[in-house]
Amino acid sequence: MLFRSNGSQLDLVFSVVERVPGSWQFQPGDRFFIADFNNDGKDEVVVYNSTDWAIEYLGLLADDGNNGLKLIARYDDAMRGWQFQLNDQFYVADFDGDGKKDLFVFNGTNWAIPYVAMLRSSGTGFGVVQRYDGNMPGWQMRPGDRHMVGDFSGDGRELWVFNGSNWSIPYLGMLRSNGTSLAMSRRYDNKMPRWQMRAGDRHYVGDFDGDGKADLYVFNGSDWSIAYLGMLRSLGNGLCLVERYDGNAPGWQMRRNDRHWPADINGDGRRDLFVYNYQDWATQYLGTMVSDGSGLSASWQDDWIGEWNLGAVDRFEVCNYEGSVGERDIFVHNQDWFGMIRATPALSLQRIYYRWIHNYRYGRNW
Amino acid sequence: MATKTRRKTPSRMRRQLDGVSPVIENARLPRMGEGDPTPRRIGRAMLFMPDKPKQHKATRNRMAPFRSLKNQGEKQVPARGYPDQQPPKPPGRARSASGASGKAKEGYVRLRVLVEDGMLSVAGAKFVEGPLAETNALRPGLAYEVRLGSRSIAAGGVADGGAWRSFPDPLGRPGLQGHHITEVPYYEIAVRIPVQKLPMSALSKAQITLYRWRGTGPAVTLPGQPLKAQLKGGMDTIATLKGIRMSRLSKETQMELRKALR
Repeated sequence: MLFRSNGSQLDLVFSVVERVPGSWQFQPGDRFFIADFNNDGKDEVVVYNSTDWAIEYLGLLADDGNNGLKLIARYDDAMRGWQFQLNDQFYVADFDGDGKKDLFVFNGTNWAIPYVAMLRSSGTGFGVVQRYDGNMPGWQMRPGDRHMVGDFSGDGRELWVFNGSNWSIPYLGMLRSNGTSLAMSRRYDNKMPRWQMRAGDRHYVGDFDGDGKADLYVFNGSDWSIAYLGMLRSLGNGLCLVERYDGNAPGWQMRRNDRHWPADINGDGRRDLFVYNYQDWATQYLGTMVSDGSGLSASWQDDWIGEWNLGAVDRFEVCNYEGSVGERDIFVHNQDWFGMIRATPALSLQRIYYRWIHNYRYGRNW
Repeated sequence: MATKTRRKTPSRMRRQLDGVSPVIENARLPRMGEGDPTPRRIGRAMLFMPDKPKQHKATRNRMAPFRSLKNQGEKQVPARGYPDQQPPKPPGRARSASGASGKAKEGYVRLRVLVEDGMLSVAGAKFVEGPLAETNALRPGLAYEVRLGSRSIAAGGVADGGAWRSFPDPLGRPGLQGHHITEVPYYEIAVRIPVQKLPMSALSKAQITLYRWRGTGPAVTLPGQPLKAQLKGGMDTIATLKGIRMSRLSKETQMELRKALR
């Protein structure tokens, strides 16, 4: 089903049963990657399933011209240069700078050696332009590699990779793409500027100072006596620490189980953070950490956001359902409930649905 | 949403406050910058990433070589559209050995798995008729688990695996009293999997793991749930076999496995 936001509520625009014309048959194990793969200004959907069929499938779903989707390309079991496997992990990035989002794919566990491939989008399908078997330039791949995508030099073509578990010390690599291959721009072994790397580091890529280059938030709540959050600015070919919060950020006491989502909450072109913690306090906290380029200021609400009672089962998706600048909204959902929360001017629930996304003419949605 | 129950909170849990000291999560851990970071051992070795990694020499279980193409070509949709996606093949044992009945036959496959140098390999297979009597109580020692993806499809204990045990001399001669246990460098274990849960098409995705559980048993386990999530106490992974690939098996074992899963 496809729902479209009108700024304050969701309206159904498309539904199909069992399969998308083309055809793609839905299964519980389908994994979706949503981005503009053909540079038409609208998002398409890449869907991958490696668990529910006799072989693996990758599909590209695009606009059918009638508010719906149709399958325009499907790869069964393999594409030229890449054999799909159970644990393939995909990352969306425009690595050739043509405006069409492409895919990186990594598999570290199903073969004797790890593999990374660059799948370039033609707008109607994908082709492997480069594959790395076991090693990337300056980086020996291991099963525990964690990848992030971000434009650290401002030309839109970069990949970050971190491994804290398979080596005696942690490593972070910043790789630059020229459209058909990768080159190591900078590798950090054990330490980044004023940041001692640890296996439990969690990385969030986002341009927090608005200079067009993706920067790095790093959080570690488990490997030190207190929690740490670092803001590392990209210099184009390296990083420098702008701010490090030890235990407390302004307006937020950091804890071990804080979870973060990068988003431009106030629409100023700088990447901020949503933060949530349901485990470490007497109640649940949802907060915003807004960047001014060199620091953060946080605000939060606890337990309830309007009629939404925050809980352990809640899942969050950053979005912009209001259609304003930035990404100042967040969907919250669990098995029975779906909520639309906006963060500006303060966290507030705008819509709540119970079991059905349906807008009743009179009365409440639940 | 309004009827959602408020959770009971332990008394030690607090609320966020402004202007207070950082919360100490673990007082035994240092703060960042305190002391020199010590590289940790991976197994017994110190592993550091080389600046210029060398090519891997492994030849088995590799993807077909990649050949760069200047023009990848446009993806053409087949004239008649894409066919339906292929459902997983149902378990192959659709009729009894006599062929008299069309009803699926119940049974399990018993895999002979060789453990040597921290590696597992399939050395033989046999179909056994009748339901697999799964023992849910595990005792400390060796235990195996077979998984398909995140799903555990079989698990069981291995009594006295990897050890030779001598019995005391009935005459009580000196030097022969008591049990003597000798660790052996290689040994076989029997891995039992219901055939309904292991179709031939899923062999390459089956993962067999041998653990050594150091807890205090016996412990009752739930079928379908990963062992690691259920057993309390230390669990060491002795060896893992990721995917049973026919091409790696001897001709004889291939035939046995095909026959068992037919």
